[in-house]
Amino acid sequence: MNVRTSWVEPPQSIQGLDHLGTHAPCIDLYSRLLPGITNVTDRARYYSIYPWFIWAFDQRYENADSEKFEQLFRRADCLLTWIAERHSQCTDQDTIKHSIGMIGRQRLVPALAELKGSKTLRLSDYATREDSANRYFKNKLGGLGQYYIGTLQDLRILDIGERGWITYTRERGQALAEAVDRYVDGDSFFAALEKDRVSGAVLDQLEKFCFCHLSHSHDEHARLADLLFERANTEEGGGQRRLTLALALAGVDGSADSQSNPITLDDFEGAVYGRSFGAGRMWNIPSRLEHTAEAWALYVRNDLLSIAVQAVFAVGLKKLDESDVRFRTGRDFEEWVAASGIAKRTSRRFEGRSFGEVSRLFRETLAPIDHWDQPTHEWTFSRKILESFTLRPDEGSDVDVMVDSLRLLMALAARTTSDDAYSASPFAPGFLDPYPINLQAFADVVSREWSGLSIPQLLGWLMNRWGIETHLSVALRKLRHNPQAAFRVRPTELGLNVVPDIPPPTRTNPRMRQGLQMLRDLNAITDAEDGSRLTEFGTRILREVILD
Amino acid sequence: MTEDSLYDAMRKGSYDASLITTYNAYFPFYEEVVLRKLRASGCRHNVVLADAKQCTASLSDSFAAPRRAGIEYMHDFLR
Repeated sequence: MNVRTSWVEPPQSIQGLDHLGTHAPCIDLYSRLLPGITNVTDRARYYSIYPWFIWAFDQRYENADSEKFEQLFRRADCLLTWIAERHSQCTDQDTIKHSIGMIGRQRLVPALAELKGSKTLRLSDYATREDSANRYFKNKLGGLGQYYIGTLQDLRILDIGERGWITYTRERGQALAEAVDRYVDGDSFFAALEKDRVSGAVLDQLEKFCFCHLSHSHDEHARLADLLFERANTEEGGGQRRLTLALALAGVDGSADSQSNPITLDDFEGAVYGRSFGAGRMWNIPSRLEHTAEAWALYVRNDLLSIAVQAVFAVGLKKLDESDVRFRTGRDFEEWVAASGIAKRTSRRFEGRSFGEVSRLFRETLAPIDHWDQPTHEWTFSRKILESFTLRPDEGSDVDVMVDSLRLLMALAARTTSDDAYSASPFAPGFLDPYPINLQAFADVVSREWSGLSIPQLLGWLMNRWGIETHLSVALRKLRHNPQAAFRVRPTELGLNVVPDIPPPTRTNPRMRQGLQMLRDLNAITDAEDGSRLTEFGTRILREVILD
Repeated sequence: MTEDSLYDAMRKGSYDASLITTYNAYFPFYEEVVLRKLRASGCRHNVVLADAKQCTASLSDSFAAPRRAGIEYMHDFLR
């Protein structure tokens, strides 16, 4: 028998995401609530311009190879960003309308400053695939390959063609492409790509490619609106994207009299959670959108739980790292935390009472759910926690984070009204099994385990059982599927060892920032100095959905 | 000394049995990662021989204690 002796190669360490598995339920919820838009699909017009480019290329280069396609595609990606940014700079300088979220902005926008007088820019200097300081994007198909391709395939706009190339579908992709082509000057666009040099005059001449022109390109706009609002037999996910986008429109409409700034993701989340626009300004949600609003409120509730638990874990890791004591097990650490200085100082802020006692008293001072902008509301606690990790941390801030995290948990417990935590948007059977920190489990531990615990005992429990132990389970599960180690704490023969770079708590990004931008792109909402307003088109489509 | 990837070794498969001897025993890693991969590749007879002191320490930790020993694999203490 051949015997060989060697060391076992350790897995590669990575920073990793979602160290406690608390993001996963949130991600599943918002993915179902807003399908067809992702955290990286920032602009609606890419849904029509990308298929247009592929279609227009096919019309002009019948026998071209993939190298030619990639070369011109990368130049086109750069050119589109320059056109939009130039249009913004030369008109109202409103990047939200023109060039925000466009591909390669970071590299491409500074280059426009060189475009003065008769000077020109060479597209291939930026579209190059070689590793250079000017390269706009590493992925060979730029923003399409990196961000949009999966979504456009899911929406049956693009497909993989016979030669293994990306192509457009006849029923959707080609229809969108032809609609774009009826509005823009494709020949001038491709002439600029071939010439490889653009001047300010050329960019101005191609102005119709700026994304602000979508609402003027009537056929293209109508087809994108049909697609995103799931009209005209384009329904994909049971019409849920249509309902969520309509809910956002209803939010803009309802807050028009009280909102003085353009609507943001935070405004949307606060409004669906509190069913108000803050300070008790109630939001009368149309009955057709009621279920969707409840599901979004559930998402926010889950995200709030996630923030609180991550914050306690982060402080727990910090204390573990700072301690001179070697902890053999998580339970040893849990006992140590319960007797630690931070636990005692946190407990003093609650006058030494148990979690159950504090929770009962806390209900009397908790702001009503519709006053989500008040200091004693769970929404405010969560924002304070997130902010504290971006400020300079000190011992005082650790106690503040613990106090706010516990208050956030108490508030969530106080709002519990249903035995089935996820009744507003149930998961597939077994989905939550690998994610032990969830709203259902939270309701169970609050009623069964936590009520009798002192605050120091609860902190120890949270830092270990919903901290170290859950993290180790999550990291081991990841390791099973991928030979990369995302451990933030390692069990060793010398005890628990913290891995550098303690992850701060993060909120999930529920795609609604992109959803709101798409509504702006479609000219369904418009931003003025006194806030966001529905346009005539936005009003019409909202009415269409709620009277469905 | 060279380093061998445990993943590569398990991926190759075609093992009927495995024998693992170890000083440091962290059973969640063995049970959740190694054992699952071994069984998935058809390796049915799996044995872990671990340092007695380290094993005793694991048994006293409710989180890290072996859960599948005696059911899905054999496990013994070594001094």
